Amino acid sequence: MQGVGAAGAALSLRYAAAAGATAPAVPYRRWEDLMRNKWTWDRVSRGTHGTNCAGTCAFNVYVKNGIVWREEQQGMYAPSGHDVPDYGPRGCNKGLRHAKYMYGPQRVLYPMKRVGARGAGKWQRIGWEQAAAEIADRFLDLATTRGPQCVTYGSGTQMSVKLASFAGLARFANITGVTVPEFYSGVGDLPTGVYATLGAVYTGDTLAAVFKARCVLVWMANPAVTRIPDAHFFWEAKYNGTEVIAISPEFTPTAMHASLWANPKPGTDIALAMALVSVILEEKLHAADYIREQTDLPFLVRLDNGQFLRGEDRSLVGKFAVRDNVYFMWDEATGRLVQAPGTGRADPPAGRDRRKPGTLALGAIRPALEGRWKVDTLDGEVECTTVFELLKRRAAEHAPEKVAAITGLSPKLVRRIARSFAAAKPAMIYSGYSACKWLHGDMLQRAMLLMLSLTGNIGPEGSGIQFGNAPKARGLMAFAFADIGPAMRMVSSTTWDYDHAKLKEQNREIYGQELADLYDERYQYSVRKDWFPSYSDQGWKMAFFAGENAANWRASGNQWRREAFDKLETIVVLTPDMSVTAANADYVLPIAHHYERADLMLQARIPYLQVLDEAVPPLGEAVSDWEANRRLIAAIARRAQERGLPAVRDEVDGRSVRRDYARALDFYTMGGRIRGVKDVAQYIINTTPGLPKISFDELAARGIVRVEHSDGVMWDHEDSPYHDDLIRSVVHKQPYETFTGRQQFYIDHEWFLEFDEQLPGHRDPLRIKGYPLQMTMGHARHGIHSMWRDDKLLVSLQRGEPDIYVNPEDAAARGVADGDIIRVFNPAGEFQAMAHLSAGIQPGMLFMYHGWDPVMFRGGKNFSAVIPTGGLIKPTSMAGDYGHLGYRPLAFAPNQTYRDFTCNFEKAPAGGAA
Amino acid sequence: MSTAAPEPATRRVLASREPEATAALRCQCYAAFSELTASPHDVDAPAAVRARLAGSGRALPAALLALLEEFLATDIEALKGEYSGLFEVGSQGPPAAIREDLLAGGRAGTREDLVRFYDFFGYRLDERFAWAPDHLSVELEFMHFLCYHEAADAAGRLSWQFGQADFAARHLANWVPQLAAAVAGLASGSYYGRVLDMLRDFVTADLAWQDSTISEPAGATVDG
Repeated sequence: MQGVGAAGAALSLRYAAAAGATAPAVPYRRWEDLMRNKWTWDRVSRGTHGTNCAGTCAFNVYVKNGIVWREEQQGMYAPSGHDVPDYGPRGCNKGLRHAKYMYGPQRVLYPMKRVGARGAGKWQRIGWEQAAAEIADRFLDLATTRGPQCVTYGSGTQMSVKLASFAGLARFANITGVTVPEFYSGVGDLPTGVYATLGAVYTGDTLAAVFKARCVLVWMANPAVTRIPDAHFFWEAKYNGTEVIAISPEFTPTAMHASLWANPKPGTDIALAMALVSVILEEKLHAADYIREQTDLPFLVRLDNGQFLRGEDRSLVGKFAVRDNVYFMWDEATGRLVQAPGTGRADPPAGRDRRKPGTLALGAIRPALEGRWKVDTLDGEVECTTVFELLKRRAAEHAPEKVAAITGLSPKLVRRIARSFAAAKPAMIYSGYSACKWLHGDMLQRAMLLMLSLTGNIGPEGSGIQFGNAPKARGLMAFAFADIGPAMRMVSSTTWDYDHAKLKEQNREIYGQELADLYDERYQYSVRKDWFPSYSDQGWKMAFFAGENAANWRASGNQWRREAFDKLETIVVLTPDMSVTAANADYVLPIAHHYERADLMLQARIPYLQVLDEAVPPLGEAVSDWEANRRLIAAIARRAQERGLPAVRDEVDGRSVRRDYARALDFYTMGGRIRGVKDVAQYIINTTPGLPKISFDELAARGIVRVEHSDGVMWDHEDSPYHDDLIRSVVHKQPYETFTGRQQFYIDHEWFLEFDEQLPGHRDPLRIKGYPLQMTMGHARHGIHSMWRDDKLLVSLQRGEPDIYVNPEDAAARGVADGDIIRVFNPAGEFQAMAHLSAGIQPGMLFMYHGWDPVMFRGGKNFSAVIPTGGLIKPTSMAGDYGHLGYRPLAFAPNQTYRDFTCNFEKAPAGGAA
Repeated sequence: MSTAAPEPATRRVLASREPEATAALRCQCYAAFSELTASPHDVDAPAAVRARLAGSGRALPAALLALLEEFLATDIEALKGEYSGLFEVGSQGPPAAIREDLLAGGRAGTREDLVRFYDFFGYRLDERFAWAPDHLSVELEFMHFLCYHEAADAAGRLSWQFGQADFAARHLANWVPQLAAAVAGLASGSYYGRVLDMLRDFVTADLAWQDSTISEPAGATVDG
């Protein structure tokens, strides 16, 4: 805008769209006059925060002059029902800081290219076109020489919860053929023990279900800190008579409000769980009819080899039967051996409507739970017993008195908890993902499920193991594969890291040659047998990271950085905020933050579909993830055309795939039908069951809509958006998706038998010789993973810098006082943090809330420097060729281990780290 | 409370201002500084500077004129690199944030005060730049805008004049010296370092000059 004033002054405006040509309506005399105009909003948008806190809290976002100034929690949720508290209002300290945080110094506003050494902090702003073209050329170089599998597109929890963005990423990966190292197992969150037992991962209900329980064990979880919008359900339940029992080594904010707190030694939870099982069995508190029908506990096991008695042992099955899937019971009603109902039928092909055939209904059969029988087999007469009998024996080894020295808990307390739990109808275990982070976390989950199943507490409202649920991925995957079919490479981050970060070497250095060789031998065997995929044959050359801070959270962080990450030829990070990962990248691409983008949030903890809407345009040159990927794939297509690249042949899991990169953009946008992320969101709304079929714009106007079939607190309808697998079996008697078709507590895979894991049992957590302190971690009150962890106000509400909780006796023994900077170390590395002395921490352990980025630490190293567990891939987690066991993306894959190490600390040298 | 608010009889008095002689030149100075501190990635600064020099920009102080000419003589890619490396991109945020809110540490009310100034005087940012009302170049353009109207609007002149004085005191003078010091620490003698040094001196001197034209009798109150 330009003009020339009367006095010869020229008006030349570049930033202002319109300017008043006359004096202000009210004369200006002092700055106080600025305040005379009422502050009004130009716009109030609906929104939330696209992070993996499972909150999906409805917020109003207030905009004036193109700036988000504040946000406010909305109490717009309908009453939950006559007998449970409401879901709203929802929100937390982090969400209420975002309007400020999004304008903070950490924000990535422009495409950046490294101009100095990696990590040296020298950057140059470049345009999107240049960035996309350079990245595209690098990708094409690799894809056409080594194959696209040597390029990864890593994403994290920030990405997965934004359905449209995640669908776009999946489509990008499906078209390009890059490898997607999935993070669910990579961050050690995959409940493999749940899957191994139930054949399903997603077994959680809404958080209102907590209110229906009469006894809740809050175990490996700390909802007062990590589930701020929903924690009220626990306390309301308590005031309603529910016994809320917190189980955690440290005195957590949840324990503070619980009815009872039990504090086992770190890593001894399996012993405690099995002790509780032993009391239930010893005092005959179990629900016999339930376990006869729903579980494998009445199934017969051969005592000569520890394996199930199967059809193939007796050759009694017909031509349509699958002999290794025929199991037997002893029928007390007839005194005869009978085939277990629902077993012995071939599974239908995997697919949307896959259901195991048959029924669990026992009819007139009354399976024996106890006893021994001699059974004729092809090997001759073999003595058999039931899984229940074997379980009793295993449980007795864990009687409270026998494991007291292990857990540190009094037998009296353990018996009291077991009785309360068994007497409560219903009873629930609210378990966090921390369980999955121990090497033997799967056995902990199997033991927890034993407690629940033995007491009939899998299925009824207010019961079950409450890990979480997830939307049926039909809409998302339909979008990813539409028009082109599935051609995506997905692999566990755990195995990808093992292949590329020399983690066997670290296993040897930390845990010894024997363990390293054993674990590696089984790992390699599993991959050779195709039980688990590996796309590592061409190495790892280039990586995209989006919606995650990969260099922050990985176990064996130093090793991974040194041996894998730093050796990548090209690193591209797509992110709204700077982080250690971005700081060490070659290109950083700016991504829109929560109030600058459109998307869908669907989290099973509440029965609502929540919108993310674009309250303001993305700051600077940021764009949505969808748009960023569109620009990248457009550049790939353009450069492929300019370079005259023909389509290339690729092979994914034995299938031949033709990749025509010159047409990649056309594929990505479905021939131009998908014009933007709102179209993706609409596609998902239209194709996901249980979502009201409304337009995205209407959703944006309303903020939330209640999903269908959500009248109760459970996900118990097959047309709801969430998984209802357990209801199918408990209520409708359809066999479980396990090898046995039952809740499977006994696993007779040869590796499970070899490692004595056919039933759960205590294992000492791994320790590092000479380092006495077990270190554990947990999600933080003041951040969601690494997001908001560096917010100035939130940091000021803590210690002002990363702190680590230390027992006062341990501190005194080392001459450390509260507030001192300590050096935490073991053979893997070291980091420094402020000592936070707390009597709530047991002697012999350290505790730290996670998420702190290395750049926040003195010396630039965070906790991952001392976590050497990335290579601890337990052999049984790589088992395959056994019914439901074998690689199942996002269901059965080896978790990255994050516990099972020890360290020590000392007062840091004066002045701390450089 | 009175509903009819009469024109307050302010006790702030302007004297010796001679706007006809000063406003247009100051208007040009602020515009030139706004162009020099604009991101060369976002704004076609060379074209703007070229246009200024082709117009009445030759009347600018010699030192500022020299900076403008040096700007045109320098490779724009080099300037882009220096600018973005100092002010826009960095591993822990820009090394020297060129936005008041960031440099001043997110002090509560900074951006609100800016937006209230802009709204009061009818300066409405384009959507593309709305998110950064605290950018130095924007603040300088706003001063340019106020000076322009001081020159052009004789009837409402007092408002534009007091607005400049308060805006400079509450914003520019508060943080431009800090920014100049930060850049001096990072890239002393660099082109943008010299721009910031000169801007610091200009803002300081201009505010002092503005203050010298305003009398604040003892006991002056908000309502004058």
